[in-house]
Amino acid sequence: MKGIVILQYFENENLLSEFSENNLLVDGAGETICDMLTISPSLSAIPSASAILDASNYTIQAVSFGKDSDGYRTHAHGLYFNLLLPLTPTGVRVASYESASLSSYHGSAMPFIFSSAGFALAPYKLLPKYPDPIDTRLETKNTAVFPGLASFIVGNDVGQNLNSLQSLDEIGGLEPFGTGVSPGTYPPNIGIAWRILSSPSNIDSVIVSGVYRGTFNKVGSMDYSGYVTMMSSSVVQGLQFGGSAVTNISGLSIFALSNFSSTGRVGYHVTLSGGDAGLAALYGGIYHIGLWTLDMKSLLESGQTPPYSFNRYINPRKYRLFAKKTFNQDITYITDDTSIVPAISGAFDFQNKAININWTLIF
Amino acid sequence: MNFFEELQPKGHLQIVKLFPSGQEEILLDEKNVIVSGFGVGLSYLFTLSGSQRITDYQLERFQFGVCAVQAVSSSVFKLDYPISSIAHYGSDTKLLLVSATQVRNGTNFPNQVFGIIPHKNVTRVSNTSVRYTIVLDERTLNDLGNYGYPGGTDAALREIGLFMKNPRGDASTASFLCAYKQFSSIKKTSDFSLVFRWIITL
Repeated sequence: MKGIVILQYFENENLLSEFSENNLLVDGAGETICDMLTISPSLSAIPSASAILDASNYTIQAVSFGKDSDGYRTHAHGLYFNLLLPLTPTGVRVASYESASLSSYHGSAMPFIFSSAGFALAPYKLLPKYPDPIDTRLETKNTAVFPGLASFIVGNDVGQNLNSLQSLDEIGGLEPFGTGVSPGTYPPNIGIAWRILSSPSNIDSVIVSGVYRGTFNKVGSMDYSGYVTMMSSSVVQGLQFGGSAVTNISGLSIFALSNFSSTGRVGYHVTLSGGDAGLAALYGGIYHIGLWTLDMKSLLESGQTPPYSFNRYINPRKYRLFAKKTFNQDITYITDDTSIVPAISGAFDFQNKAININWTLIF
Repeated sequence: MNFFEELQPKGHLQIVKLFPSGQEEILLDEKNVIVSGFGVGLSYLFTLSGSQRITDYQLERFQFGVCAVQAVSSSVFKLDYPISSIAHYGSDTKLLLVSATQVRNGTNFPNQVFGIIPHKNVTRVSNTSVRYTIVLDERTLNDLGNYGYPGGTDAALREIGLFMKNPRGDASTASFLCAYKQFSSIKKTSDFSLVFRWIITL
């Protein structure tokens, strides 16, 4: 068994570039298959437990995105830009440490991790954790925006990019975005203003600005912890969504050719819309992606029995990492620096752009 | 733990001759081959296009065979010469035996004989390993030479296969070969039992 990750960059549905590389199947893949091989058939006789034997409990159910540990304490996560600067105009603000002639934001140029008062605490080390078969989450080091203040931000050290922005869509005010304490990475459907500043202390030093609208939060496919849920109940429905070619479904879906049983190739697709990719870039980018199954053992041990309905606000599901891919460069990297050849060139607007992630598992 | 990008399922088979006195003699302790049927079954599971019951993806069936001349590779999809009749397992056997369909390279072959591994004989030995134990007691699969199998009056056990129950979710159970092992001739008699301990590691 192995996996292949293909990234496709689109603009106006035209393919700009494509990138393909093998991924790592972690031990969680073997654990899930062993769970499947050893679950007791006798549970079928117990009405309240028979749902445990549903095949969907043992397949891929989510995808998520992450970055380096230090990245959660700088970029747009930084208190300094979001708390100490004037609250208005609201929105996401980051400081660019590159030439002011560039209208893009590159996390790798960030020199420091800042304190809430704006002091440089330490040099920023952009070191995403290398993939390891024993990994159980995307970033193994601490990913809390403020380590030690877990009560302030519930569940913030989960090893991946969180999504606290849905509150702006429907709940309102639970976790207001742009206050700097927000660990969220993905924009609300109604949009969020952003601006890249040339000076970390001057709100008026705008290099470039805009508004990002998120598709994950538009369709409600991502929960608070950043898991994008499976939206197709079978490969048939996945193909109805458009298979591997879709650029407008920001949920996870399955695709496969009709000969999958002889090739053993099963595909999973998710689209990062321009808004979702753009805001993720301002929060430090995406270096890890992971495929997840349900962690049936954990769920059953905690007294939860299926079905486990996805709920993006209070998701009862617990996930187990199945496969992981770590990139050496931010996959949301976009620049108008003509001296390099990025995946997407141009200004930092992600207008009409999208990133398709097609992840094929070969059994 | 696997340090490669590929997750390569592995199997290990131990065959033990067990005498009524309790004395054991190890006849075989070797790796086996995980064949492509395992991948076929998993692809039905992960596309959610096969059976909706997870138990249909379990390796709950086995076959024994009396010939071992086919080349062994991951593309093997059947035993060389499987025991073809329930009666040949012995009238007093304690094994649970069924006649069902086997899928061979995409084609259904009905009326094949399978033994069922009781779930109590399926043991999780680590997070990523499962052990299947198959016992041929003193009353089972003796004197195969009487039935005209290859080898004549010296017909002996030469191969074993593990099968996934029914991954396609067919109305009539259709099983896929997932793991296969050939071994040196074992002529089973009523003097001993044979214990097959088969560990699959993912």
